[in-house]
Amino acid sequence: MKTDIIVDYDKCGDPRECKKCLQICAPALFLLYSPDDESDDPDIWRVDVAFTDLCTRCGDCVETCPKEAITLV
Amino acid sequence: MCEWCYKHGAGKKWYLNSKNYLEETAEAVGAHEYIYELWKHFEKVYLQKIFGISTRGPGYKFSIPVVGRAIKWYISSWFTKEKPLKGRSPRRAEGHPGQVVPLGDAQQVLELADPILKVNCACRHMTRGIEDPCCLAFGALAEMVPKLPRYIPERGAEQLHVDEAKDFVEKMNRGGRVNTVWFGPVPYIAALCSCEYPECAATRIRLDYGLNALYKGEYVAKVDFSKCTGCGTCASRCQFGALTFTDAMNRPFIDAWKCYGCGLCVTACPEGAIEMVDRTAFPALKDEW
Repeated sequence: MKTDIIVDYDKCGDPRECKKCLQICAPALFLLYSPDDESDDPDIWRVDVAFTDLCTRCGDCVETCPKEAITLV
Repeated sequence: MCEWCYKHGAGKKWYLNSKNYLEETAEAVGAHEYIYELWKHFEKVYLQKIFGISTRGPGYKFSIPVVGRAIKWYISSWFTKEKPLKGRSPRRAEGHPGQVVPLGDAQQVLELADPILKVNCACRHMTRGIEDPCCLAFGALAEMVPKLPRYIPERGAEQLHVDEAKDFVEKMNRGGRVNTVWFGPVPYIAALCSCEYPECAATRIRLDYGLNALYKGEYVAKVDFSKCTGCGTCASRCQFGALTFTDAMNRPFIDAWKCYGCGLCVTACPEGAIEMVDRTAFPALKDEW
């Protein structure tokens, strides 16, 4: 079954303060990602989801997110 | 020996050729600019450039009939490109693969490298958001680190003596980390990392998607059944799924096709029953890298 993990960036904010989804996901599907192309030490980081094809739909990320920013589709 | 040993090895394993660590080699291949661009945009390279437009679900893309295979072949060809040495695109991860090395070879690599700087692991920063100083940077990469603040550990950029570095890689090996040499662009060698699946970017790409971002080592592990007592200590060490413990025989079985030659099982075995054999000793594995 094709899975899509959607992160609501308005709710998420700066992932460096929380990092709960990064650390709970066993296959490490979440990545810290800088949307700013030029900066080498950017202050803008966000969580991006790569490798959605490896997701097992365990739902740990949805449960652990304190801001309810993650949804599985 | 792999293709690179013939080209850059001078009769030895190619990562043990001291020429590949020299400043002149770095300049000849344009390593400084390449490494700076690559590490500055590490997340970008990983997320977007390696899989073309985006990494979102690359497995689905690769499974498209015909088109998927063509995309996969095209991306795979980037990793083995050697020419032109100058003017490669660091943003496409061209020519930036690594190779697995066993502990003994990793320690020999450290004898050739200078200076040795302990830096934060880029992959662990990206996937887990943690700062884990476990990568050893050499030469051109060590020069670039001050310009890239997120790779400097909290205690500051720490320069290691050869003996300290050797102890450090041994500690990492005992902790279950795979030692890997990294080069960019080939043949210049820039780092020795302590990798672990699934955090390691290249290990993930190789194991899950079959792209040659990480080369297999020059060795294959082999069990000496006269010494093996069947204690099972080695069973949990293999990250590549090559070692399985068969209950019926009470012995480990190593699938040589899957073995990356990291030697983690060798250092774990209390009886010294597993040894590293040259990959060329298995004719079938001659071209399997």
